[in-house]
Amino acid sequence: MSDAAVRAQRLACGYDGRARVRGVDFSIAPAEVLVIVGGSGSGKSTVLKTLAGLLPPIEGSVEMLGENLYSLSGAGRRRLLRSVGVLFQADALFGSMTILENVCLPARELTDVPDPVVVELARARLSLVGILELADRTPGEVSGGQAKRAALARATVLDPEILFCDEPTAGLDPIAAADVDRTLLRLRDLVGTTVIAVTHDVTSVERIADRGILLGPEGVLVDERIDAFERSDHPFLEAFFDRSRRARSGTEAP
Amino acid sequence: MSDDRNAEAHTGTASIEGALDIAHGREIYHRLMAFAEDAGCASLALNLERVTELDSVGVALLFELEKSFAAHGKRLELRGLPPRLAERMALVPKVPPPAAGAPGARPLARVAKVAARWQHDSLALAELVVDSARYTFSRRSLSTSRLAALVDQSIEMGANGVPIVALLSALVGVVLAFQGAYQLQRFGADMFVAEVVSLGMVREFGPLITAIIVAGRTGAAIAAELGTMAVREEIDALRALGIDPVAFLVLPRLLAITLALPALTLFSMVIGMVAGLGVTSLLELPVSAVLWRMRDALVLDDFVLGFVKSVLFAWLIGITGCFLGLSTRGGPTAVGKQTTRSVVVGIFLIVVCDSAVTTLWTLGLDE
Repeated sequence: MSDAAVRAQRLACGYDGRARVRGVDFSIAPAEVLVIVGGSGSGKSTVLKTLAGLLPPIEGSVEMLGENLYSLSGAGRRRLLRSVGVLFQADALFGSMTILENVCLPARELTDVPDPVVVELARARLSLVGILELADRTPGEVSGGQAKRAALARATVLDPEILFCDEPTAGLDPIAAADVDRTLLRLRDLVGTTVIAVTHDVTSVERIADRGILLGPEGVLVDERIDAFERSDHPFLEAFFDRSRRARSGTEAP
Repeated sequence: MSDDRNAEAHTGTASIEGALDIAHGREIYHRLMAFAEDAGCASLALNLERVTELDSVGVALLFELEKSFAAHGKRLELRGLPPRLAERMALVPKVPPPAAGAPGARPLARVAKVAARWQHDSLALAELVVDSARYTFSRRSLSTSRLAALVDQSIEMGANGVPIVALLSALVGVVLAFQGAYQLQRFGADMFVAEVVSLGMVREFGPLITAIIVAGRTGAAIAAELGTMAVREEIDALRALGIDPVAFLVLPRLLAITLALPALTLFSMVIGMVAGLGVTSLLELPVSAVLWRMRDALVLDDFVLGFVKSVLFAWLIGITGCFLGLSTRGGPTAVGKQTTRSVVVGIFLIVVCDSAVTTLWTLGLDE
């Protein structure tokens, strides 16, 4: 037992028994916002899926809210995963339902909350992410960015204790990306949601992260509080934060 | 959670103790809704001082109760929510109720939308047909890559469909022979079963059963493949590269089905007649005499009719599958819907076309 929201221990994850990433060891405190960065093919999304209970690890274990996720029975794991929200890279909205029905779905299926309250809550969440006027459209009738916001509303409708986000701001314009980041921070501040986000968006990292992890096929390469993470001398992070260009532009500034 | 409330005539008071959250929402909602529906209660003061937990469901519940009270002409007053919890109200902003359209406006808007879609679809279909015809007779219609695609499509649509066409055609031949012989025996005309089977398979059932199988098998595959390409923006990618999707995707499929369906139809006719012949031998009719009558009954005109039908059916199936596939918008659900539509519309058009051609052909013979 631990007081971490999520703890990964000697994790190796991949598909068909072949590990794409090994030796992943870290823990996340409740209400912490952790960003995972890494090059393409470094296994970030694979690790995120394993942490979120969607891909059993090849080795090691995942502890979530004090329980070993993959040693639980099917029913026990489903109960634990009700405390979790996942925002997928492709929005993963159900095309046969309207946006409103998509957001209502978790509350309708997993709780006994009266339907008028569910609808009120779902409409409020859509308003929070700025797409209330699209409530009656289907996912096929909205843009990629709007679908992403709808997916965020669905992932957060039940105030998850832990929220996993795979590229939450990918494909969004800067204003929409800032809105998504604000929503994540508001959830963290008001509900105490722990946020674990895989991202390539430097601005988003700077805006929301408390801590950063650099992941490579050989495991966690850097694990630091965000200020130290941004100053790390790891070549990938230097390039990621484009520090040399910033230093130059700082020198050239009047 | 504990809920302590006191109702008086006209003004009620209630308080909530403990958690106002997802676990207790249902119970609290129904107990407070009793006030809204109570004719003797004009308003309710809800004391929230002793609420210890509040989540988004709890906030949404309070807002929904306010709306329900207002809908009953009553007022709900929320009092004393601890400041620690009050900030959570920000998670669930108050939203206006869904806008209702003006009476009569919605059906009219729907009719206008359907009419606009029909107009758009008709123009797009006409454009597809014209472009297909134009590319068919253009010099570049069969470049090397498109010839390879044509061969692949012909094998998939024709050769791979042989087993199912053979099985169903044989069964239709058997049924025709049994039904025909049973009825004709009553009049001592059981030898005429030869005409029933041969004319039935060549003029009607061979083309029809083959087209229905191909509509379900190939028409659906065309719609699903092109539909998936459309939602993945592959069609747009072709246009962006300066490649016309009609020439690149539609033409090989149309040419392939125009070759494959008549060939399968001829095969179906033969298999159906052979199966019918087998039944006549079971019925102890002289096989050589039946075979002679079959050959005698069939004239070139019957094969021409069957062939004309099969070509028309091929174009209907191909154009339907390609048009519905290319016009797919949305996501995976739209692909499924268009695929289903391609089968339903394809079979409908086949039957309508079959009736029209048979009627016109027969009337033409009479003249």
